[in-house]
Amino acid sequence: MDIKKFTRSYRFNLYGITVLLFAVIIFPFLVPSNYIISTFILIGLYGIVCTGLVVLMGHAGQISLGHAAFYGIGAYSSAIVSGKFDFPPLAGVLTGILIACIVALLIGIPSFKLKEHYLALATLGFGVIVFTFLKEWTSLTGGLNGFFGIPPFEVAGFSFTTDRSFYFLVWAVLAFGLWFANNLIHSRTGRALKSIHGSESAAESIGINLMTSKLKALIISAVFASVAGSLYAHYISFINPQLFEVMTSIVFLIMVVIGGSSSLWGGLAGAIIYVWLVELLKDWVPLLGFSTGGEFEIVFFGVLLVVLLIFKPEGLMGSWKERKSLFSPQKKKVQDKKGAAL
Amino acid sequence: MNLLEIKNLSKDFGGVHAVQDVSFTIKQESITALIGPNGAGKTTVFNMITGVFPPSDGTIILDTKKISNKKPHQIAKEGITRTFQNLQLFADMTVIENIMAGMHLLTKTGVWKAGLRLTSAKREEQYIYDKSMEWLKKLNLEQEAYLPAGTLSYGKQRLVEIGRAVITQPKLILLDEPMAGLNHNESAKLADLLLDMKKEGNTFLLVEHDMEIVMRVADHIVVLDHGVKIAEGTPDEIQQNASVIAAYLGSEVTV
Amino acid sequence: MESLSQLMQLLFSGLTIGSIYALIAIGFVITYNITGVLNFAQGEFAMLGALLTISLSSAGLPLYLAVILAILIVMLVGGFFERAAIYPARKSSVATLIIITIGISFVFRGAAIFIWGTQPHSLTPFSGNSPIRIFEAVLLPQSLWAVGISLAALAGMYYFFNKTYTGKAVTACVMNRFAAQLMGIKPEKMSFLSISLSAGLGALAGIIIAPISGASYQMGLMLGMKAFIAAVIGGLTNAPAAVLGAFLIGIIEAFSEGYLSSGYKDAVSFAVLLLVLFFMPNGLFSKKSGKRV
Ligand SMILES: Nc1ncnc2c1ncn2[C@@H]1O[C@H](COP(=O)(O)OP(=O)(O)OP(=O)(O)O)[C@@H](O)[C@H]1O
Ligand SMILES: [Mg+2]
Repeated sequence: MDIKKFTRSYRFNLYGITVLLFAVIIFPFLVPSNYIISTFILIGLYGIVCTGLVVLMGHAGQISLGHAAFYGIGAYSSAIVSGKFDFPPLAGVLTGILIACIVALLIGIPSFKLKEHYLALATLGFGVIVFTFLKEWTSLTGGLNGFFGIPPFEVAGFSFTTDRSFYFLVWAVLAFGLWFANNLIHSRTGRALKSIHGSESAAESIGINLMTSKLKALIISAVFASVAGSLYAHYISFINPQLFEVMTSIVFLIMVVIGGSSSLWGGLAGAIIYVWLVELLKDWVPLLGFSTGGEFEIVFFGVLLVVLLIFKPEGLMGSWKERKSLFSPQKKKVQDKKGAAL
Repeated sequence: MNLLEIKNLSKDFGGVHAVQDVSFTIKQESITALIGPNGAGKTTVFNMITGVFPPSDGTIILDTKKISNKKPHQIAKEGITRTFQNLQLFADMTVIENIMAGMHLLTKTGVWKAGLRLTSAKREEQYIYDKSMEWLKKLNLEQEAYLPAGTLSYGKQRLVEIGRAVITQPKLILLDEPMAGLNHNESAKLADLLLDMKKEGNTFLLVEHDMEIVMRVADHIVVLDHGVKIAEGTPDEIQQNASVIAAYLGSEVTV
Repeated sequence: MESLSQLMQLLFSGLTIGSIYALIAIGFVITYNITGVLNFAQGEFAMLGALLTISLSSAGLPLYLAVILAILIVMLVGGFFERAAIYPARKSSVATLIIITIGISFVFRGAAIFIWGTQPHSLTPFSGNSPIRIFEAVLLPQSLWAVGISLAALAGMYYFFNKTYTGKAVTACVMNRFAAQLMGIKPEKMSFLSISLSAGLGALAGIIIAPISGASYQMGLMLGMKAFIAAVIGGLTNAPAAVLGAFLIGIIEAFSEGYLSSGYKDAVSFAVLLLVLFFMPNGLFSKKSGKRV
């Protein structure tokens, strides 16, 4: 037996990413609607954040209630560095990444010394604190009035001013993120993360340092969120603190749970479903005679979340993966084994 | 030559003296058995050796180096790995992934090299895979390589756990009741495997309730009762030791 | 003395809000210790209690009846929530359970929007609105009600857990699940009981704060979070410590609002949470205890 068989799921994901890239390129020519392109920009951005969260939640088994803050750190770093101090946008993105890494370390080191749910609490607290700073530090962030006039993203002299060019940029970054995450989870580091999820004491017994492994996962997910935040800021050119509230963190969590945190594709799937459901709800809820604005969403997703977690805790992609394995050659093996036992 | 030296080891949990003033040594290329009735403190000794918690008192020396008070992952790096009394497999990972995870210490690809899949990362992945396959063959688990470890029979799960612990060829391997839950045939096979591996140069510390197996494989036996070492010697010596017999008759363990 | 009266004023308002947090925090502690669940929906019980009381009393019921009825309804809702969402998932991971309770809190909030809309409602104070002057500070009668009722409820809880049979059974369940089972106490029943009890306490908290700061569908979130901080500061396993934590958070909040700016209020509380988590993970008031592996 050679390694080909072992790397099947890795290669399967690679094909997936390739197909995705083709689809992304063709899509705007098939569907020239600007509205749809703009929803896909949003899906791409959320997809980046949630792919990072998949690494953190699905592989390292840690839960964060503060990823909107990392998203916000990226957005405001870009806004301030490129909008206020007129540095090139790339400098803003890098600043965001740097701050996100430092903050992840500061939050992670103490939290990971504690029991499992403490990261949830610490990230929640951190989210509220970041929100307050964005809101109150008006001289730097513009406070609740928001930050205006963030220039478009620009790299090597090319400026991403149209929705369509930005759409390509976001999905290219997402594809890179998926590729990176796929490489990572099918590697020594990824196995170490999964081991921790499986049994912390066993992971330690084979020499895995729980602290550094969990920190790696947290930092990776923070960087993904920060980069998405930076892109978001350049895309809409106006941001305010409310975009990065605790509620947004929970929305990211919802996407990952819906999509399924154990699959590489769970984050993207969750982002697609979430954004589309929200759009659908916007159209349908008024028809049902309710005039509750966007608030209807929260009930809907609350119910969805609870039902999913009770009846399908592995999420959408999780169940799909399961079904796929029914057709894989492994199934036959089980029967062989039984046959041999008889 | 002595590989591991345990000196006056004690552990208190609140008021419970789980282990009291226990000393013994483990020779290179040997199988030492640590036996005793339920609650004697055997697992507690394991947990202290592997750094799960620090001893209340005493020292542990590996190859002249003091290792007490190190963290579990540091102990693993020093060359001691273990299995657990209540199986600790990575149940959702496949069998081969479990074994490959065991290679962690022998390899070094970090986040960057792995994430960007540089050639060195690919090469190392191939190395990990080959080595793991080799061990799966040795453990007769090839057929199950791609099954989730949690779906295997209990006996095979034990084997996977042992494979994960031995793949790095550590200096010392601690096995906590590896025969528990195995049928007679499986235990006998596992005993043969241990003896083979000893011949290849491995050293084991074994906790086991199945006395027949212990007497067959062990070179040296240490007996604990209520946290205290009550006897030590070769299998023959232990079988004739009056206090050992008393300790076992006093409890309800079937010998 | 201007500054002294301001100090007293802030202290009183801190104690008032602290007593509200205390009631909800106790609910957290009870739920966490018996079911192992960190219930992020705890604050929503306060919201339901407040809004139900407002509806019932505006439907013509006398206030005391409305209060009792509201508390009972919320207890039922809590029990139902335990059966429908916590019980079926009791074997899931901590992370999953946390997310489930977050989902539930959405459901409660959504239901509240349908029933009561998004605009805030108000409840008339229990006994008039004429301020009382104590130590240079102006005190609303409702504050006295709040502190008084909370303290009474806390005393009641103390009595319940230490003196009554059912209460002792619950306590036994906290100390040792297995031993409790041997004594014929069913942990499942305890889980149900503990969550509906916590729900009742939460409802009471919501009802007494409603005349002071109004009631709306979104009041539960922050109340819940603050009570949560209080419980963590108290070490999560110790009810009296959680009460102390609640008063501490209430006072810290009142002072940071008074001397700093109301915008920083939440951040200061959460900063306290982080400090406690990082430097005293067993809670502010705990003696050093051994780690169990
Ligand atoms: N983490 C812990 N905290 C408190 N007490 C403990 C802990 N671990 C073990 N003990 C106690 O220490 C004593 C020895 O336990 P240990 O598990 O070492 O026994 P053992 O010899 O492995 O028994 P068995 O054969 O049943 O596995 C027991 O009384 C046990 O209750
Ligand atoms: Mg044991």
